[in-house]
Amino acid sequence: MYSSGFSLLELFLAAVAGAGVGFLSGLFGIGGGFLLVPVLNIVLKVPVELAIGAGACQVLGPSTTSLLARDVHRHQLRLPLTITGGLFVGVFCGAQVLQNAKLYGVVSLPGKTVPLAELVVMSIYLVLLLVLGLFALWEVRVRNKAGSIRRGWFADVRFPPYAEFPEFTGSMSVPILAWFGLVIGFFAGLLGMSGGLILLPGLIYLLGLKTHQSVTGSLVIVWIVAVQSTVVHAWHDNIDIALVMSLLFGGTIGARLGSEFSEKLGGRELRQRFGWLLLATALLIACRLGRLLLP
Amino acid sequence: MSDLTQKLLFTVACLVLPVLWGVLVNWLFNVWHSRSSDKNPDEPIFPDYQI
Repeated sequence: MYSSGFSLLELFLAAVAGAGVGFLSGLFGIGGGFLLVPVLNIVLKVPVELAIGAGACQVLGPSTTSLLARDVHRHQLRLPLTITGGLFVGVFCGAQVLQNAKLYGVVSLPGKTVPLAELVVMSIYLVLLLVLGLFALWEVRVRNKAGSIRRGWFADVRFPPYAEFPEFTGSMSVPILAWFGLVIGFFAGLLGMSGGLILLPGLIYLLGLKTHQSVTGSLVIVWIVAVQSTVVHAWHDNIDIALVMSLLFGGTIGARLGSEFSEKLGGRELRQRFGWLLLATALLIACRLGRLLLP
Repeated sequence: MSDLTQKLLFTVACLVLPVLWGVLVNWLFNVWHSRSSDKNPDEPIFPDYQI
């Protein structure tokens, strides 16, 4: 999509939507791709593949800013670059599934036809947001009772070859890391999200990283995913550059306001509200799917 | 210009524009922080945008 098919009013509304999503991104410290794609598709009626392409491409802006603002050391690149092998394959496979769904066109249901790409993407978003939203609320509930959730569920899995990383106390299975990257990349390529939404809980609970260790690694991975997703989606004509620039403009302002506002809220309160945000987005998607599927 | 060259150039533009935007925003905040720290060195710095 070399030339924009959007009017100035639509681009302005996209910038406003980007500012709103950016505000929530800054507030909760997340990328916001998982919010952007449903909002663009459901509220602004942007075709799902263009929403995904725009979501994937615009992540490059804020993630570049975040990386430049941090002092990333060479030893912090070892884990992200090990995961990158799986990420590359995952992003390619995810984008290919979206492309096949786009080329398939529509599926016929009693009394109507539904775009397959939208049906697949929104259904996966619904399940993913429900699971992550409920997990975030459960996590807060456990902590409120002064309990703790076990970390590093896959850290003890013995599957050679192994490698030593400064982030882990013992050796870590390289295939486990690669498959972890594969799953993250698949969702990023298919859904247009930065991957941070599943990356951070994955790094913390599945691989057992401490939160402060996982943030820099997560940023590097998100940047790599964003570069690859942008290449793949640009190649499949899923990116409208005017839409991306509108989102970047609105998103930057919103993100800054959101990060300043987050200072006023405590970490646990933020986590709880984040869980409700995920469930509210899931509800929005469920309504859209209901309208798509019901006669 | 061939279709392949157009696609390549478009892909490069999609990569470069958001990155340039990110660099520009980072530079602006650096300038803003250095100016505000000149005025008030004890002013707290807000956490940067995280993914």
